[in-house]
Amino acid sequence: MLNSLGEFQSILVLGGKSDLAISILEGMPLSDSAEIHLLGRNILSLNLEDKFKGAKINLVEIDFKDVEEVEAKLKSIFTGSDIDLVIFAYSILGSEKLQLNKELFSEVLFNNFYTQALALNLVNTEMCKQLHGQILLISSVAGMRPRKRNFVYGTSKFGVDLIAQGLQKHNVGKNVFLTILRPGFVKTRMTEGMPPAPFATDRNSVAKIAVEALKKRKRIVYTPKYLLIVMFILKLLPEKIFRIIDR
Amino acid sequence: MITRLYGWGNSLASHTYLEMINPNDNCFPLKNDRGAIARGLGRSYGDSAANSGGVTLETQLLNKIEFKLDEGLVVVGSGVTIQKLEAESMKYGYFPYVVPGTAFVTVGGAIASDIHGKSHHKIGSFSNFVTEMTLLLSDGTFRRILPRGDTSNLFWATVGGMGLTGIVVEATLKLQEIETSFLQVEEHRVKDLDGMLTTLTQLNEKYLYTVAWVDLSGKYKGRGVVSGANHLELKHLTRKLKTENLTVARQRQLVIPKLLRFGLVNGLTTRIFNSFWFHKPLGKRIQQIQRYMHPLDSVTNWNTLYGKSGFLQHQFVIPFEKSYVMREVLSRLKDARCSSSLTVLKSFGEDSKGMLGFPMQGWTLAIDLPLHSPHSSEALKEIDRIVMEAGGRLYLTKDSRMNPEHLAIMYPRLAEWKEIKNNCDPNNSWQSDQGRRLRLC
Repeated sequence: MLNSLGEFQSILVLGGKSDLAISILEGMPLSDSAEIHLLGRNILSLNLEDKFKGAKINLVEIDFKDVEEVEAKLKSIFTGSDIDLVIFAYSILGSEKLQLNKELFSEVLFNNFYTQALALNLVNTEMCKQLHGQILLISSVAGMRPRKRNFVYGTSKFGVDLIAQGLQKHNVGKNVFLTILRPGFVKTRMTEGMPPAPFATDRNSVAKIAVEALKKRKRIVYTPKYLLIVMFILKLLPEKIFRIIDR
Repeated sequence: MITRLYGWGNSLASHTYLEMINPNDNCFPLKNDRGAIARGLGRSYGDSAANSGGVTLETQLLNKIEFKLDEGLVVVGSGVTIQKLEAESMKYGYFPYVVPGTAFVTVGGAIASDIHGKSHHKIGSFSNFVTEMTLLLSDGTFRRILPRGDTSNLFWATVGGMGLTGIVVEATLKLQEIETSFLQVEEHRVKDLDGMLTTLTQLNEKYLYTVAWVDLSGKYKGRGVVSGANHLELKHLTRKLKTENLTVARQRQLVIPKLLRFGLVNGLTTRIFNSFWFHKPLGKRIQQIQRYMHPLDSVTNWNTLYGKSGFLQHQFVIPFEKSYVMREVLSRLKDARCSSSLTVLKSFGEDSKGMLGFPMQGWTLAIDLPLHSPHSSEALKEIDRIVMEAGGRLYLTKDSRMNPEHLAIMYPRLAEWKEIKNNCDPNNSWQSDQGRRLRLC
């Protein structure tokens, strides 16, 4: 549980190598004895010395496609101690040209939607047993309206975003708060080499907004914040006009 | 039913399944593997009397009181409040030996925290006057435990054990005989910390009850008001007071209205209040014992003055020879601009025999701090470090943020306590939010 100063005692990150997750953790209020579990692929190569205000870091090598191993690992972490915050920060962007390629198509949907939906459900169930906790799901504005260049990625984000919204309704009265973060284009390792889309931000700006949203227990937050208005308008545009913009 | 509970500081909310324990109940409902914890009146400041996701058992039905006046004893249910115990005892010319700063504490809570009073420098803590108690263990059995003999380990693990060894169902307490329900009180104004420590030491020699209020604002010099009190003998009672002798203090109960519960306590209001309180008229007077012992009890919900964000109380004890720590603490709080209108200094005369008992010979300072200061976290961490290096410790009953890694250093008998906890509660049925936070369960 958070202490009286609002400091987190234990955090779990699925996708521990994510640039966004690392930036968010750097901005979180952490207690002196905080413990952070970072799960992901090739995670043991991470060098996090002197990071996160001296918190104890537990690196766990895991492939999220192995849903049974993920389930077992998550259950064992929750058995060990209460978890105050879980951050979902892993996803595959895929390729614009090959997004309909059978293998890549399946991989993006399986990894980004199916495995995350299962893990989200499990984490939410465990937190509801605790009757306290927060979950941060890093979604994307790509899931708000399909674009030609990344609609498979967008679909996978839309699916898990909708599951998260359903869980928010389920969690009412249970003191478990799920925040959905919908960033626009963010300059990170995942988008390296890509031409930046309009309203692009950097990881530090996203992290600042995410930390504030967690403190206030917001349901949905966009980065940058004004993207809420932009997306509202974009979703209402007739398809003919949207296609002109989506070139 | 899920209920939201707060500690007295209103800074930590726990969502829990609230149930009531009945006398003679030897089973308690467990919802899952998150166990259960007993809760009296919830006057601990943090999360020691709540259990998120598990069961919290209210003890108010454990309300037996049975006097054994020929032995000067009373058998009480753990749900009996100190207020009720005082009122009933006074009818027979008795009073509890040790009472805390508020009477709205249950006997069970008093044992779980091994509370201390204004008389600790002379007679020690609450547990010194518990001759035996009955503990409900996690296997559903009742065990009679005493401070000496085969059950003494479990007794002294339960004293100060924050409810994590079992539920105290009832206890037998020694009472002191009193001739009157009045005290002879003497007060002194002191201008700085050195004067405060000297005056308190002098009054400790003369008086059974002593306490000091410290002004933590302005120049942070440690100025304040020191008072001492002794029981008034019958021969000194005036005719008017004789009519009120051995009766409960009549006092109007104030309730802070919702309009004022917005966080009235801040740096400015603290300075104003402290200045007023420092300059109030002092001297020698006669005061009803409950009014002296429980000065804030006339304001029912004074904790709401800190608003929705709440406050925390930080209480530590340091050995007498390390009194320089006080100066360093004042300095850290001044640098962090943390002011407090309720800071109390007392002295402890002996170490608690409880394995997790807080008192040890030395000075103890209790500081109420609003949570809105951005630098309070760093200041408190620094104070913890200074206290720990000086061989002192923090009070678990007031704790809501301490580092669990400091616990073993501050409480050298922690490992011994954990062994007894594991033996008497192998399934870890007694759990609390604080217990999990500090890795006690």
